[in-house]
Order: sequence, then structure tokens, then C-alpha cells
Amino acid sequence: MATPAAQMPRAGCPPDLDSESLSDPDPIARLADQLKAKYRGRITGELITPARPGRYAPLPPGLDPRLCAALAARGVDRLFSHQAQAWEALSAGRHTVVVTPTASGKTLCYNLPVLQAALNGQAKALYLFPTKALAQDQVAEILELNRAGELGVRAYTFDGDTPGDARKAVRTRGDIVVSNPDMLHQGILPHHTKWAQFFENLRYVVIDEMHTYRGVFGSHVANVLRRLRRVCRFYGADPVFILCSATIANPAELASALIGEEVVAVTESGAPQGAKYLLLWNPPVINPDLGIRASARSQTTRIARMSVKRGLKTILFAQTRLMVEVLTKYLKDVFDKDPRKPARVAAYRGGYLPTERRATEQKLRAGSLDCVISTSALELGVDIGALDVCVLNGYPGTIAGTWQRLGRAGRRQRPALGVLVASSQPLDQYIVRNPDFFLGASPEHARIDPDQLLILLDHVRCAAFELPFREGERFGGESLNDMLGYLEEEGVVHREGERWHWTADSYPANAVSLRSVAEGNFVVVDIGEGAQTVVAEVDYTSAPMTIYEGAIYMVQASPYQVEELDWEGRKAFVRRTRADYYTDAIDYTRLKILEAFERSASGEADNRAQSAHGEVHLVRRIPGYKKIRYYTHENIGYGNINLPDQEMHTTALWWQLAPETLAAAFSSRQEALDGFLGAAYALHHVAALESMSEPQDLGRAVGDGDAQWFATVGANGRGQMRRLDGTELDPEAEGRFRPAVFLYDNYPGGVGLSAPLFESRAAIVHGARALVEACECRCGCPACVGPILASDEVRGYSPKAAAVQVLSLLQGDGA
Amino acid sequence: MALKQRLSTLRRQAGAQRDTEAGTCAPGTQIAERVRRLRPAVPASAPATRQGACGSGAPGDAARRDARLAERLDGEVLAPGVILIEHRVALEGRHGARALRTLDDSPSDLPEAAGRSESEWIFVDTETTGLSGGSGTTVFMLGLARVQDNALVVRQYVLSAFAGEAAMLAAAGDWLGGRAVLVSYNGKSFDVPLLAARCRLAGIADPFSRRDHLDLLHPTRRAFARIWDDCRLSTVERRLLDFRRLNDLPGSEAPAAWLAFVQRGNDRLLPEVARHNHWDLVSLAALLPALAEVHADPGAWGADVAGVARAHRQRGDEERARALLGAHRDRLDDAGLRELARLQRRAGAWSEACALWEELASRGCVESRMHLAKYHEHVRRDPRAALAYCTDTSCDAALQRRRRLQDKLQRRSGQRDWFD
Repeated sequence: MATPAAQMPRAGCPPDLDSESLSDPDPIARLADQLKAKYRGRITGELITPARPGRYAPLPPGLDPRLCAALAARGVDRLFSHQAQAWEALSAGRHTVVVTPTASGKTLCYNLPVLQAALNGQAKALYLFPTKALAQDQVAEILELNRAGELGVRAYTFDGDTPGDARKAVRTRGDIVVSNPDMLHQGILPHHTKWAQFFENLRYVVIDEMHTYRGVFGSHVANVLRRLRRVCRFYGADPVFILCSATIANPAELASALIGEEVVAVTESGAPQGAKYLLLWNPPVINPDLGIRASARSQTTRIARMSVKRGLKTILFAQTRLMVEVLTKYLKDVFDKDPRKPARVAAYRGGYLPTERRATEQKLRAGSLDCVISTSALELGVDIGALDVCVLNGYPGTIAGTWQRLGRAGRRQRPALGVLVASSQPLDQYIVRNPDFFLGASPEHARIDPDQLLILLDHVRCAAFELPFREGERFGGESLNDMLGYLEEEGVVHREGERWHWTADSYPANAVSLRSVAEGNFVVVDIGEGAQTVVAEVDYTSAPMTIYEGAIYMVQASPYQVEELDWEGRKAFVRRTRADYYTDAIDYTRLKILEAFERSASGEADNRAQSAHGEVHLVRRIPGYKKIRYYTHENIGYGNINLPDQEMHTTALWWQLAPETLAAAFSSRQEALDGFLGAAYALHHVAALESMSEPQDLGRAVGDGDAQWFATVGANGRGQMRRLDGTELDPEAEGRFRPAVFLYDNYPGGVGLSAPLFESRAAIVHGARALVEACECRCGCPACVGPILASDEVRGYSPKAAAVQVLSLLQGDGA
Repeated sequence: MALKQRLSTLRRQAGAQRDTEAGTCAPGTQIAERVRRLRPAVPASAPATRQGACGSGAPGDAARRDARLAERLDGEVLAPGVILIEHRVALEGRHGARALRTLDDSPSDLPEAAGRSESEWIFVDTETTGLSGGSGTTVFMLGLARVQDNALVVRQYVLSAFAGEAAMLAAAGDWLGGRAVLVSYNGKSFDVPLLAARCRLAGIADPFSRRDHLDLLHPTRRAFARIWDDCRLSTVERRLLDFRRLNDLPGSEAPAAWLAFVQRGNDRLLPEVARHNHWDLVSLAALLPALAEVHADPGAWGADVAGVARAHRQRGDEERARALLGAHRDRLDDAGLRELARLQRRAGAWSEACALWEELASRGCVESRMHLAKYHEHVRRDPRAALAYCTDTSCDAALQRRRRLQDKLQRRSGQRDWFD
């Protein structure tokens, strides 16, 4: 098959100038065929998307002739249909969201109206990208178009890297300023008077990669946009918003939640597409009794080796930073054995220093790397050139995220191969075993909660600094007067007449990070060789799990051992080590219900299941960690961790069963406990799918809901009841036995995940039960109820059956 | 849980390291008020009046507040919310060791002031609610000073309420007039951008930004940054003016002093803030002629001669730079000597330049050896002597020159062979 780009008619996307001629006419189809022939049993599903022709529309009649000429110079003499639709909506002054796949020419959707407005009336535009790297790519692209048509439009990036002496020129002379939400939040809005000219003429605000603004980050960004619009109103401007997104289920809803206005959605792409092969891959079962499959990691490295050996540029996505490092090490052991040769394999993830990431991006574009292993950090549109093969080590957790990552291969309309390798996680197994579900499913909803109390308060604070609030003004859904009253007591605002003025000697935006609810990142400092070098950053919430004393912390597959953790100073001191193991933290979580906001219809009286959502208090202790040897993955020891308990008020959804019901349904409390733990495992994974959150945004716990005990899976694979201090309890010896399973929002204050989950609780329980029942294992496995170590005979009952029993009882909550 | 409690708890769990300092306000009435406002349905049994210091009272209250503060500061009410303090400082008097009379002398020895010596100087210094900048920082005291009728007239505009801001900025702008040049200490990066932001927020034209501005921090740094531990104004006062403040309120405490007044009506420290600001302005006035003297004769003031000479050169006065460096040759470090050699070369004083390069070369300065090589090759036309300076093999320039000189010598000797 020939490269489709070669015969493709040119439309609103730069022509493919890639002249790479591979000796093999279609090495990608060949690799796909070989994989299918050799590993037939492992491939559970296959999707071939044939090349698709484009749909076109003529250039709009009102388009500035200079712009037409610029497009013509780049070989564009007509638009894709979605570009024309966006033009029409924007010409009518409507806020617009465009949702089309990668490489569909969506940037032209906003560049056209923005350039037109800049040429015709001094109108300015602000572009926001989630990361600095994307912003720099974008400026390069505008400049190219600018040069092609000699448009004389000035586009600049403005971010933390912009030198001080260049900033004034950007503020006063830039027609298009390309920045990121963090910079808008900390660098632009608090200094808006310096940007007065810019704001007075601001006509368009472009928000690309909109789908990344969900959860905590999205809730913060929605508030930054509230502040932006407030400042614009001060200067008499009311800009039109153009948003672009990868595929999600509710683009219009998300866009409208972000900007607080109605939006028009353009969702049908008119761009042509190269052929795509997608394989769903399930590792073979190696222990049928325990339902244990070969690791996804082993399959991923195997596929990557085949692909790289065939000269195909390959990208691997892993779920965790740790797995990125493990995969990188294994592939470097194969391809980078000779230290004198330039590396062919590189890792890319958050936590690396920006310079290192830029260097890797550059090498990818130049084609000097053959394989990159990344977390979701590369899921965004960072320009890394054309890749051929994409292997997902584990299901990314969302359907939208899966397509987004797979889109990394074949960006320039070349054929591409994607392989989704399932891990033993329940969702993964569910998906590879039900390929039709995945291939036909609609992507998830992206949700934000801009009125989350802490987040909203942070931004009321920042907004009060920017402009005094006036009586009767609104900001967000909570009572602004109460918020200002709180801040007045804190002494940071002062009411005088009809206005609240900022009265603190501080710069509030610096204390607010958009990427978390928590404050204060930790830096990882290498103290080897006498010097102190910062090698990475770790956010506050994940610090207790990753940089405890004794932890092995990996950077580019090199292990560092944490020697000292300075909790107050937010620093971890590490030293290079030669350890042949990695470490994994153990986590005890105890929960107390504070208040139920809403309960299911069923009452306690009739002994049916009860469910509710509300506010909870949880205490998490990380008592120790396991050392796990590379390759064999055997547990080779434990270490103690001495860290303060993490406390959190958040919101949760929970189910409880009456003691009488349990006594009737189970022969022992131990069996019920195992059933609850298995049910929690399945519920957690189905709920993550339901809420389009990162899996770590949601936590699960089993306990009494009164902070007396919690349940955990012990080393023998059986459920244990413990107090927070670690004391083990005997379930049969306890008084009233009323366990509950919790799914909680894993941020202080919650980010609004539990209320929608409560709404769809029936679907979650149903999905969890279907997941467990449909699993092929005999008595439970990591794909349904979690790993089972002790065999069926020892227990005398099946943990899987116990979980199904619990789930079927939970279905009776009257939802 | 009440909003406040909920918020504090959540913030602590989110890793906030210091508890926000609530309760700077009078506790009882504030909390009662908050409870009332948090639960508007509950009838207000607590007193509903929240007597803020200068909050939303009746117009009469505001007038009384202004009058009280004016009296406290020994000033007059200029407009609602603005107090004006005016003092005349006789030029016959002294400020530390300096006579203010020298202000009348032309400061043209200061490179920045050259060509503007006929201008009228206006000294400016502000007190603000914070040092971080950004639109949440307010100027609550704007001090200006200029010479009028044989005296330094110091005018300080003080806000007694945020509402007075526009009037204060406009009044100060009027007093500035058209042609004046601002003189400040760090005003280019702090005071003036802040005043510009305040004007923008108050919706009035900005009389401060598009105006000539002499920021004395820059000449001070150039002359003393390498000599003193810091260039704070207090250091300058001690070292150049021999002026020592007694019982001065540190500038860093000014924000809290004003906020105490605005939030709680406590005006106790405001007179001290005004005195601090007054001294800043008088020191500025004394510093301008002092810095001019430093630039005329840096040696006498223990200043960094090389730094001062560089400033003269950058302003186009190479001769003065050369004379200064030459006169203080024994105090120069190697960089200063190299600069002097360069100026000597440009002035055609080759023997002085060569002596300097020889001295530097003897201490291993490759650059000076290259200068000597160039001199011998191109001025003296003696490639053999030039070659002797190109022995340093670690330097590419030296290697190249050596190769070239060797070729040159070879060609010449070839020619000689041919003629012989």
C-alpha cells in the first residue's frame, strides 16, 4: 500500500513533505500480519480503519486576500469541512469548540479567524496551551504561515522562559500571545495593568487541548478564565473563545463549564486519514489456577523489540512513572548496550527537568531516537514528528485517553499500528475480552468542579488582588460575600464602602498551583559527588508514596535511593545506587463518615443495602514498603516508613450492608470481608471508567465507616481487619460487624467526583458484578477481584463468589 | 462545619505550611458578623454594626477620620481620603555631613545627569502595602520633593482610605508639572511601574511613566556594589552622607503600619512612616550631588574606579575614563588594567598600552599576549617578535596566529633565498 499522503488532495493542512522512503512498501502492515500469525491466541480483537478521503469546502469569501495568498503558498486552496464550520460560527461571534482527531488541521480553525482579525483591525489574541512546549510549537507554526504570506502579524510566546527584557515587547507589540494557564494565572493577570493595551484589544482567546482541563486542573483553569473575563470587562473587552479538544463525550458541556457561556460544537472532521491497525492483546495465562497471566510488561517489551528491530519508530505508553523507568531499563538493556553509541531508547515523563524533556522532543523530531517510553506526558500534541508504532502497556483508564495516545502513531497520514496490551487490572481485562465494547464505546465525560470550595477560594483571593470586588459582583457558584467575609477575617481584604480591597503584603497567585489542590512540591536533590543537584520534582500528594526514606526513586532508569526526607523543607536527598530492586509503598487507609448528603431510598429497617454519598474524614498511614527484585519480581524484603499520617476531608460514595444480611448470606465474617475487598476492587475500576478520572483521582477503602477498623489484603491474600496502628483484629470476635465499601475523591475537599458517581451507582454495581462474573478465572484473579494467593481449598470458599455475593446484595439498595 | 473552619482544615490537609493569620481584626464583633452573614436566615441577635476603622461609615465619619489623621500627621485634608503633609527644608541646613546647598551645583559629573543639568529635579519615594508588585499593591504614601525658593519643599500625600487614591495621584501629577525629571532610588523598577498601575486602575492619565527619570540606585551600584556589602539606601546614607537615623521605623514595617490604620483605626505608627519617607526624600536630594562628586573623583570616595570609568566611557567620554584609570593604576585589578590598555591603544598611546600588556602577560594573560603579537606584527612589522607571543598552545587564536606567522616568515625567508 502506498503512503496515502502522496496522493492526497491538498487542503487545509500542510502537505506531507515527509520524503522518507522505506525500502519495504508497507512495513507496518507486515508487522501487524506477523504479530497476528505468530501470536494468534493473544490477539482478542482487531480494528482496521481504512484510509478515509477528506470532505472539503471552499475558502470563505470574506477571507483577507493576504491570508488567501499565505494559504496558497503553503499549498492550501480549500478548507476541510470542519474548518469552514468553525469559521462560520466564529464569524457570527459565537464561542466555539472544535473536536477532531490529531493531525486534522484543527489549528487552522483558530489561526484563520485570529489572523484575519489581526490583519483587519489590530485585534489581539491570546492562545493558551497546557504546556510550554506546545506553545512553542504553535508559534513556529503561525510564523511559518506569516512568512508564507508576509502578513506582518507578530506572535510571541510568553512563559517562564521569556527573558525579562523581551517581556515588554510581547505585552505591547504582540498580536498573538501564546502562553499557558499557569502563566496567565501567575504572570499576566496579577500584572494586568501592564497588559492594558493587550486586554483592551483582545478579540479571541484560544484554548487548545481543552480535554486536559478536567478534574482539579480543569477546575482551576475554569477559575482562571473567570478572572480573565473579569479583567477583560475592566478594559471593556469581551473576547470570543475558541476551544479545541481531542475526542470526549461532552465537549460542549466541558467548554461551557470552562468559560461559563454557551458554545457551538463542531464535531465532524473533514480531514482525510491514513489506514490504522489496532490490535487488542491479552498476555497468555501462565497459572490457570490463580488466573495469573504473563505480565503486560513482558509483552510490551517483546512487541517493542520486534518493532524497533524492523526500523520502525516506536512509542510506548505506561501508566506510572515507575513502569516507564522499568520498561526503559529493559529496552536499554537490549538496544543501548554500547555506551559509546548515542542512545536509541529514552524515557519521557513528568518530573524530569524541562531541559531534558526538550532535548528528548528534539531528538524525536530529528528521528535520532528509535523508541520513547512515556507516561501521559506525551499524550498531548507536543510535536515529536511521525511515529509508526504505538504500544500501550495497559489500558490508559479512559477510552478518550486511549485514542489520544494511539493517535501518536501515524500523525502525518501514514499507516500506523497500535497495540493495546492488557494488564491484569480488571478494566484492562474487561476491555480485551469485550473488544466490541471498547471499539464501539463512546468516550467518557470530562468533568470539572469550578466551585470546589478550596479552589474557588484560592481564585477569589487572586481575583481580589487583581481588582477590588464590588458589591453585587458575582464570582462562581458560592456566595461571594461569605468568601470575602472569610478573607476579611484573614486580614487579606478590607471592605470600604462598596468595595473590597486587597490589603495583604503578598502575591496570592504564587501560593496557588493550578495542578493540585495541595501546596508545596517536593524537590529531589542528588547529593552524590559532593554537589547538590535537583534531579526531579514530586507533588505533595504523591510524595508519601514515592520518596520515603529508603525508597528507590528512578530517573531515566537510573536508580537513586532516598537517604533523607525533609518533610518540612519539602526536599528529598538522594544518592545514585546500584540496587537491583525497586520499592513499593504499603498503604493503610481509615475512614470516618462525617455527614451523608444523600441516601438511597432503602432504609436500615428492611435490611437491604444502603448507599449514600457525603463527607468523610480519612487518615492514611504508609507504614512501610516492599523491595521487589527486577525481572523476577519477587519480594525480597520490607522496610519501615516513618512519616506523619496524611489526613484528608473529602467526599465519598459508600455502600453498607446490615449485619443480619451478612450473617444470612455468608458462613463466616472472614468470607464477607474477602467479598467486600473483592467487590471494592471491581467497583473502584468500573467507577474510574465511569468518571473519566485518572485512576488515582479516586481511592477505595473497606472499613466500618467509623474509623475503628479498616480492611486490607494481607500477605497471605486474605482480608484482614486492622486498627490504624497496625493491630490485627479477629472479625469473629468483634461486636457489630457492619463493613462498608467506600470510593472517595482523592483530593482534600473533593473535586466533585462522588456526586455523579452516586447518581450512576446502579450502573457501577451492575458493571462490577458483570466484570467479576464474566471473568474466566475460577476463584478470583487480578482481573476481577484482585490477586488471590491462597488457593480455594485452603479458604474453603471462593473469594470471587463472595465478591459476587456482596455485589448482588449491593444491587438491592433501591437505586 | 462552618465555612471558616472547613476552609482552614482543608487547607492544612492540602499541605499549607503556615496557618493563615486570621483574627487580626477585633474578634467578637467580627465573628458575630460572620455568623450572621453566613446564615442570613438566622435573625441577627448579635450586633449587626461592624465598626470597621474607616469602613462603610456615614460621610460624616469619613470627614472626621480624615481630620483626625491630618492632625496626627501635622498635615491638612486635601480631598476626601487624602492628607497632604508639606515641609520646607532650608538649603542652608545640613543632612548628615552634607550641605543641601550643593543641590544648586550642576551634577553634570554624573554621566546620567549630563545634559540635563538645567532640568528641575523632583525626588520621589513611595510607601506601599507590599513589595511584591502587581495590581494588588497600593501606594498609600507618595512623597515628592523639589527645590523652591531656597528650600527643599517636601510634599507627602497620604491615603486615609482607598477611595482617595485617584485624587492623590491627580494632585501629585499636578505638582509634578511638565518638564521635571524624576530622581528616585530604585524607582525605575519599583515606584514608577507601581504608580503607573495605580493610575491605570484609578482610571486617570499616568503623569509618572513617560518622563525622564534618574534612578540613583544605578550609579550607586556601579560605584560601590563591588566595595560595599549592599547598596541599600541606609548604607548609602551612612557611608556617603554620614547621616544616621535615630528611631527610624524600618521601611519593611510600613505596610503593616498603614493596614493597622485602615483595618483597625490604629494610626500610632503612621507619623513614623511619614518621617521615614521624609528622610528618604531628603537623603535622595543630598545623594544626587554626592554621587556627582563620586563620579568626578572616585578615588577620593573609595569608589570602584573601573566601574565609574566605564560609565564615563559608555557615555562617550573616553578621555575622562582614561585619565581616571591612569590616575588610579595601582588600584586596578586585571580587568581594569585591560580596560586601561584598551583605552591607551585607542588613544594611540602604544608604549603605555604595551607596558600594561607586558605586565598582564607576565601573569599569564593570553589575551594580552595576543594584543602584543598584533602590535608587533602590524604596528612594528616584526613577525619574529610577534611569534614569540604565540607560544600558548591551549588557545586556538594563538595557534592560528602562530601558524600564519610561521608561513609569513617562511615566505619571507623564501624570498630572501631567491634574492640571495
